[in-house]
Amino acid sequence: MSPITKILILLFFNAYPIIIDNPIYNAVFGFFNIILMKIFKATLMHVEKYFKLLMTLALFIFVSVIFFGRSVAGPNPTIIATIGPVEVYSQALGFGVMVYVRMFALVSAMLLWLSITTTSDLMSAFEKLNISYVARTYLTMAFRFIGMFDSDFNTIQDAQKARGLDINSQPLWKRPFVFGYYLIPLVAITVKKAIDAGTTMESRAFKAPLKIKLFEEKKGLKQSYVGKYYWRYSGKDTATIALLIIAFVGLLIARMYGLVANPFM
Amino acid sequence: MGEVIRPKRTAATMGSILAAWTGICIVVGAYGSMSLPIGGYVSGFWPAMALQAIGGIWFGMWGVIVAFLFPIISDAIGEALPMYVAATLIPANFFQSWLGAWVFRRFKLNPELKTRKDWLAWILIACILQNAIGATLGTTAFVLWGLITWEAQPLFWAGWFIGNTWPAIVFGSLILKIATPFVKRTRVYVFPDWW
Repeated sequence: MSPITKILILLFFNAYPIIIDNPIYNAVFGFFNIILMKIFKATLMHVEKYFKLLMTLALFIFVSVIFFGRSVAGPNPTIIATIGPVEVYSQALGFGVMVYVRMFALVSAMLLWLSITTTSDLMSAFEKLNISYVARTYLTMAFRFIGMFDSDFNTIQDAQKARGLDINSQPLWKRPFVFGYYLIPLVAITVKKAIDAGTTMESRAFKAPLKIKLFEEKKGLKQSYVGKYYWRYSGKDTATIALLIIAFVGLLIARMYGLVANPFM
Repeated sequence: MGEVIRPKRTAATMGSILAAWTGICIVVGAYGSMSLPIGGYVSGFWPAMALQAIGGIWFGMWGVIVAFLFPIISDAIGEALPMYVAATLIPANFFQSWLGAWVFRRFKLNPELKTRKDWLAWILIACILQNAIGATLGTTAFVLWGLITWEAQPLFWAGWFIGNTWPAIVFGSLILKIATPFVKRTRVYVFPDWW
């Protein structure tokens, strides 16, 4: 699949749950994404953290609609329960379900997209979208630095352990206070590594204006290794893009006629 | 005599600091949040805020760009938060870096926090006021997405504000005092310029 098609899939899959209000359609879409990941045998590392995200969203949304749901309950709300002085409205819960299932659909769409897209795909697509060489270089470096500082952070943790400080053995309330012992060395390392990287780039004749241009000027277009060897496009991509456009227009029309409204409110 | 002369800034070094500062903010944001979790990724402690505020002061617009760029990468790529939701937090993250940077430049303050005026601007503007604005814009974005209701906004506002402000005051002050003399000798230190 072409990197451009993948970018358009990202845009469409992120737009679908926002256009649709009916939680049933969004739930079907969310499970469809998960089934696709199973079919394509997508490998996702640290999947449990995404479940934490869904739990966080549940906490946000349901605390909000249960304890502070009056503003989304409409003019004539139906009280279904009372918790002390708090009245729980059925319309507010319906609203909460709609938003939560929408977020579930969005997160599952992001998971599917992340599982089928590599950094090279992303960079190749940016190149075709005429994002400037300089902006792409900085973005690629940022991705590289994440892994590097993650490793540096672990090294600092080990060094502090050797000095008798282990953040994980500290009580929960104390952890943030000892975080400074990790943060300050990491800041110093970051500045030093950035200067080293900049000097290396200069020695390899990297030149650009100080103000970043987001888009490439055509005459100065530079084709990178990634753009040359990772780029692919076939008739299947044209068909997929056409399908996405038709589906998008169809969804907008369905919304206009109220076919995707939330039946629980 | 005694004036520090720094080598000329180049796109290579400034681009490197942009990328590196983005990297450290993502790592610190992730580890910091995990050290005091409230539920999932909701945290009462977000030390990346200290780096957002300092980045704008030290590196000018390069730091401000990082402040709104890194949450998009960390939220969308790292935590699978939908990109449209992550993108609506740009104004909040922009203000959490730009305001302090602007005040330090506008009133010719010293990032090494040498005088009472420097301290007051840092604590009141760069830590408290800019976080209050950021929390207001951020939680309003959540309300507009339907993630929280208008009545619940003050509660989540308080969570955001407290979780961001105290790490900024504690770690931001420490880093500014300890690391500014080192960083100002390098050519990635942009202050008092913007670019």
